[in-house]
Amino acid sequence: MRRCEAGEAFENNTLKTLSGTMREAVKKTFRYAASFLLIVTLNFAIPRLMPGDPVKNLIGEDVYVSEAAMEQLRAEMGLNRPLYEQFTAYIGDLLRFDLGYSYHLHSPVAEVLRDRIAWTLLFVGVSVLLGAVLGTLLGAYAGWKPETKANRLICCGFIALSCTPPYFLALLCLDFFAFELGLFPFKGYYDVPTPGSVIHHMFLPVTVMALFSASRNFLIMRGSVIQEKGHLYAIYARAKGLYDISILFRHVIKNASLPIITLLALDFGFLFSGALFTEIIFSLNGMGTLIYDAIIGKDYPVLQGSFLVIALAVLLANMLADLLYAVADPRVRRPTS
Amino acid sequence: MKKGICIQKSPGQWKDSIAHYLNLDIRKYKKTFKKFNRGGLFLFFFFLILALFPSLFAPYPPTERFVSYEPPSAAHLLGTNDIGNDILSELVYGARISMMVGFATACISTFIGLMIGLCSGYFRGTIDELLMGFTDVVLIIPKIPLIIIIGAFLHPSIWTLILVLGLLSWESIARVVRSKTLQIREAGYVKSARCMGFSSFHIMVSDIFPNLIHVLMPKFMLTTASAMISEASLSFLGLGDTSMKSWGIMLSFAFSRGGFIRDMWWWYIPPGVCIALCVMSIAMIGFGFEGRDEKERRGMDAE
Amino acid sequence: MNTLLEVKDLVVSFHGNETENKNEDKNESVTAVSCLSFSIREKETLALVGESGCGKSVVAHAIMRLLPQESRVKGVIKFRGKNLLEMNEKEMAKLRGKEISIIFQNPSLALNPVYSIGHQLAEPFKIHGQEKRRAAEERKEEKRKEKRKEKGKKKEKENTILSKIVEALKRVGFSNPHEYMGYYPSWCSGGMNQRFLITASTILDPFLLIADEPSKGLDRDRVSELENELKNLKEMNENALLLISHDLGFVRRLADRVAVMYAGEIIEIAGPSSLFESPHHPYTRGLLNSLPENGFVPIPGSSPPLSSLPAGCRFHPRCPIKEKRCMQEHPELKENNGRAVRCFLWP
Repeated sequence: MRRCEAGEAFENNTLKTLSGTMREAVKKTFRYAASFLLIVTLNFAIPRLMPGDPVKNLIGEDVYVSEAAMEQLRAEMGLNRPLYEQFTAYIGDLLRFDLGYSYHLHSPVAEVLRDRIAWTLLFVGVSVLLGAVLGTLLGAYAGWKPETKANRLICCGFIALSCTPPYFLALLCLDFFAFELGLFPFKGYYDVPTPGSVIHHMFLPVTVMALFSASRNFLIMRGSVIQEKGHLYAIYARAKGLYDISILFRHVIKNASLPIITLLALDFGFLFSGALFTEIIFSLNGMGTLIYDAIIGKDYPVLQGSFLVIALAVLLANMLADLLYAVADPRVRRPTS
Repeated sequence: MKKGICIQKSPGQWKDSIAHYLNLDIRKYKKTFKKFNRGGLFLFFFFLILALFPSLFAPYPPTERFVSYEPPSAAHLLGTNDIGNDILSELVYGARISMMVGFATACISTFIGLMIGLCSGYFRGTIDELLMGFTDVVLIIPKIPLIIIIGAFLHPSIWTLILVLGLLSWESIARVVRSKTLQIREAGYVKSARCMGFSSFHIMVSDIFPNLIHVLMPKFMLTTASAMISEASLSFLGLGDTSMKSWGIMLSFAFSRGGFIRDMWWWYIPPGVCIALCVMSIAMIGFGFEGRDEKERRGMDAE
Repeated sequence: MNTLLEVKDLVVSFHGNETENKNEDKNESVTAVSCLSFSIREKETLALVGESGCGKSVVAHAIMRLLPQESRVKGVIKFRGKNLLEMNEKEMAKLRGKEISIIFQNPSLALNPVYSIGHQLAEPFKIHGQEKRRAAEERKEEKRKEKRKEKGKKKEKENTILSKIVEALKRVGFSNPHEYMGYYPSWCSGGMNQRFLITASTILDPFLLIADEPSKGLDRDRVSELENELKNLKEMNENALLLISHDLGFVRRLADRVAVMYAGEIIEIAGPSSLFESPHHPYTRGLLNSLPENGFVPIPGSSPPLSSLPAGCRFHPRCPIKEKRCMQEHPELKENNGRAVRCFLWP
């Protein structure tokens, strides 16, 4: 009798929450689609809406072309046609991975980006992962015992780090470790394409970026742990006989790190931008230097393509985080039967 | 009173609940922040005075020219740069521009965030869904790359920078305002105001807005801090306004005009340190506000 | 019967360390429990009743040494001959969950939301299991070969744990425990979580189980279910129970002895039948009169805040039969034919 009741209540509960989860999922999907559309539209609209000749805006300002060639280009790019036709043509180009042609670099933008993005993704990925691990662990410990001297010192340090522009930090590191001490090379991803050389070259930039990303995770994790450890389940874990730090690792850390997943994804865009600056400082041949050169050379097609690619990477990271969250948090995932 | 048998609870007595333990703990944690906060306030006022009255502190006008690439000396405490400007004077005058960018951006984004959050939290329903959906969509777009392309198309000017930064950093404010508004609109005084027939606009302005100020303040400060970092970063890429020399522009020039190659640390370290310290002081004040908000909430719970 | 737990002169005070708060006097410590003494014999159920806020839960947390760092605990808590307050944290951790267990008042919050029920039920074995099993299995192990042992032992270990959990879950009324073990607390109702929590706390068969307001927030059906479960547990495991509650009816049906607390001290201890039929202390009488079946007559006034207790008897401002000395002197707990009362008017 009792069991039956419990089962019924449970069934009801599941049904309600199930439809809730479905709705949530549909909403999420819809929002991602809208973000995607917005990104594409922005990319389409910006060169056409900005002051100046759209042709110039689309091929880059520094390129010298004659009046006749310009008219020809205008016709070729369909800039005389109505906007909606231009938009459909633009989408068609995108589907064929045609991101325009860089007159500066004399090659299609998609090709240029393909060459550069792998390195940048490697750089960002490694730093974000290292930063997440470092920041989460240190932050968890600092939140567990916030009153100890060492933890307060670490906290001050990370606050200072998070308030420093990443490129300034990179500049200082480059100056000190590469120029003064000569410990690390100050240019490029490698001298010879061997793993050892790559690690040697990447060490400083990755350290800087990892520290920077760790500082953000650290502060969030610290606050999160301070909040979580006051919850009843943490006290119950102690009542079960867990000793001090194992309560943190066995119980609190998993709860406290759930918000980190979402924040990591939202931060991904920010870190990506930080990585661009770090690349410029360390003269790494990735997206950052590409964008820097494109800004100086007014190479608009490259800028647009870079924006599109970065925005899509961030979008994907967010979707991944949502999926991960659903796997990690049983409150989101409910039984389907 | 489902149970029927229950001893009545009397007010104003010891709470033996777990919430109380948590409460004590948070107070302790806030105390650690307290110390920093005083330092932060001091630093902030120092920079504010620099920004308001630069002529009192700067030894020379920022545009006056001397011999270029001078190392630090008694006459030029931080030496001179590539075109012979005194770096210390530049630094002092830069405070105004950097802080102005930060605060102006924060004003714009706070205003937008407040409007969106307030409407979404007050009207709920479809409006809420739409506005929050929009917020989520905007949140995903990476800001700095977008500003880079917009900045590249427009001619660098401090006002476009402020406008673009302000238009792109309101999402977190909107979210906080919305959740707080949802909470406040259920309060007795808002309900009674609605019953008395006041217009929505009147209720939002005179009943809800005053209660939002203490969640807005920390957000305002943190937005200022992040806008200053963004400004410094964009200036470094050469997207800043070179006619108004902020700390970011100084750093950028030091990097691109030989300060770094010549190892002139007195040129590129001071502006960077200034940015970091100023941002930190503002962020600390923001954290301080956040702590106070927390305390108020706890205080309300305890009653 | 032997005494299992003896609490003597327990004083718990909290230091609110706010310096800049509006009320400066709050800076002083608040004494939540003062000079509390009681004992629990083996297999006995002692109930601690009182209004919320009189310090019942603080006693429970003090016995488990779960109070936050801001608290000061003085006195003696003797458990099986050892003083718990003199133990260090490591020794205490070994005791918690194995010899003394606790059930918290809010089961859905006490279970960790991100771990499955099965994981959380197996945890006590993982924490405390090693020593016990080592002794038991050492004899068997000697006969086996090294490598085989390693693998086999682990499997076997898991299997024994699993079967124990399944058995325990069946005992509290789950017909298909294997399914429920994969569930998470947020998927289940409060009543189910309550049963999971009880299972987790009693699975290692502790000598003493502390139930801290287990009936709080449950509706009537669930309370009677809970009552049956606790009764069953007692009959099967024969462990002692410290039941903390403000639900007098619940207490009456379960307890062997009842201690009534008011403003941080015990004012009356007696067997349930004598307490409920002939209460001695005026507060106990007031409590019983406030029950719906006895006319629902509330006690006038409210209990004093622990930061400013009245002089003399702590109950005197609300007492209908107070005398002059009640306002000046603080009465002691006097024992007389197996029941103790803290009142001048009862010899």
